[in-house]
Amino acid sequence: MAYIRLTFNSQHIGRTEISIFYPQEAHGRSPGGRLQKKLSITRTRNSQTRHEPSPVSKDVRYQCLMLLHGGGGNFGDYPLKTKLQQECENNQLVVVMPTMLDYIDKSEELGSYYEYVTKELPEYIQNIFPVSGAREDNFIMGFSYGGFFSYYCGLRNPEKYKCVGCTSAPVDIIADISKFHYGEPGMPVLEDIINTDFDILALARKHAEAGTDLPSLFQIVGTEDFTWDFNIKARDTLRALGIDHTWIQGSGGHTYDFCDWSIREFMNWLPLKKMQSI
Amino acid sequence: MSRLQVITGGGGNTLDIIIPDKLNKYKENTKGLWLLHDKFGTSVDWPGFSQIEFFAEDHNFIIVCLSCGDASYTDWKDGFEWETYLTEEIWKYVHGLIPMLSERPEDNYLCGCARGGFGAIKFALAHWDKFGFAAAFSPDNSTIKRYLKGEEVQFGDRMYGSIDQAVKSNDNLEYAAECLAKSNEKLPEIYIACGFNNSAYECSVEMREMLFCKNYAVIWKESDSDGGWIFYNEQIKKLLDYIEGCD
Repeated sequence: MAYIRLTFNSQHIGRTEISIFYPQEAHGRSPGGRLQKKLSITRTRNSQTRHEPSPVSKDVRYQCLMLLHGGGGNFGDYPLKTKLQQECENNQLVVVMPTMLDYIDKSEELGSYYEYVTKELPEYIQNIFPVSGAREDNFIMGFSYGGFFSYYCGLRNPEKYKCVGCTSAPVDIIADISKFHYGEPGMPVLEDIINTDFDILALARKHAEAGTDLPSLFQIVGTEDFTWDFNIKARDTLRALGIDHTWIQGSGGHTYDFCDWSIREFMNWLPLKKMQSI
Repeated sequence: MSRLQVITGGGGNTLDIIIPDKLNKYKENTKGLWLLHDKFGTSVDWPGFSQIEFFAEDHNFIIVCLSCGDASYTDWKDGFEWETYLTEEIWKYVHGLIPMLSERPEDNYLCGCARGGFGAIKFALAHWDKFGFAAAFSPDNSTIKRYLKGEEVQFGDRMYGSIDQAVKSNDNLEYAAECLAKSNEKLPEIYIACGFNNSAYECSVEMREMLFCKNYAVIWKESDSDGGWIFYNEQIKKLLDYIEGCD
């Protein structure tokens, strides 16, 4: 697995950093493999040794997971705090981990992370790298507030994602703000977001009534997590709406250890394609 | 401008790739500029010590900064195969990673400073099917020159095997240039810039004359600089302007 640190000029949020896990066996090649000791042989100079075009079709595109860290984190969280790199290699999945400074999408000072995560960054990734733009090949997942934001992005753009996941996330954001962050500077005014798209459960209800073709939803939380009650209520609400929803619980709290395990569960659940190797 | 710092993993090393904002949209056959550092360097040298990221915004290249440690861009007899690794494995890797980067030699340019300048000319002569242009700032081929004179033999034997092998190797630029000149292949354009106060000046003049004699198109730029990163920084800007006809 290759690790890429991407420094990017976003039109929405300014200059920012992103971590990317990129599969080592790119299209069947062994890039960056071991440097081998061999005798040096001067190449013969004739047309038969001319470089052949790449044997792999440039139509082959990787599937991609947008993975959002929790509040207060940055692009280094997943590489440093989890062992996901090997998991991503095993699954031949490109994983994009942006720095998220805002999940509220209402901060003029910080810019629109919503536009950045759902449109600008995916377009850049798909233009530069051999990554698919098809719905069936795109997934979004996050930890804690990153998980809330994944649901927010996924449910506002159901046509873009095949699967949306969250771990240890305050999906019921209304309950979370009400209990833990009411009146805090930087948090939205509760009364301003009830029944808006920010209100995930209200948004899900709206979609269910409209019969929207939604992504498959995945929700995972630890039994010792402080968001447990919010997650239970969200789970029950989503199930009652008849939305395609997978629930997993495990022993653990609001930690990256639990996050590490839960993202593996998510990847095992994803409809991943086996990449053709040449 | 976006910058990718790539750790290739699996025993590989690092790359720094610079993409101007105007190239954020897919554009087939985008030109590539491959930057080679001096000895003891890494892929962060060019972005770290020059203003290449700033200059690149005005041009239409994807810039790939290679890492080669202190290996002189050579397949060592008693060591690692750096030349093969960079020109075959990393070449394929980068083109797989960034599909819009052209694979045509006329779209792939090399540029190096000091030892990297030697590496740039060497790669253009030996891998003419990948690179159509090489720029060298104060090129330094002193290691092989000393070895061919019978100096630093123990070290040279580790790199080249023997003097006989070194004479007929890609590292001997005169031999490489002669072989390519005798073939029917298109010769790369060579651009050499050196300050006449620089210790590499005499070496650069020798290279220029050798290539001229073999009918290579050589663009020669000299100045009163001593060399170093202030010089390389000035020259990379001039080179970008020259290549895109802006000078």
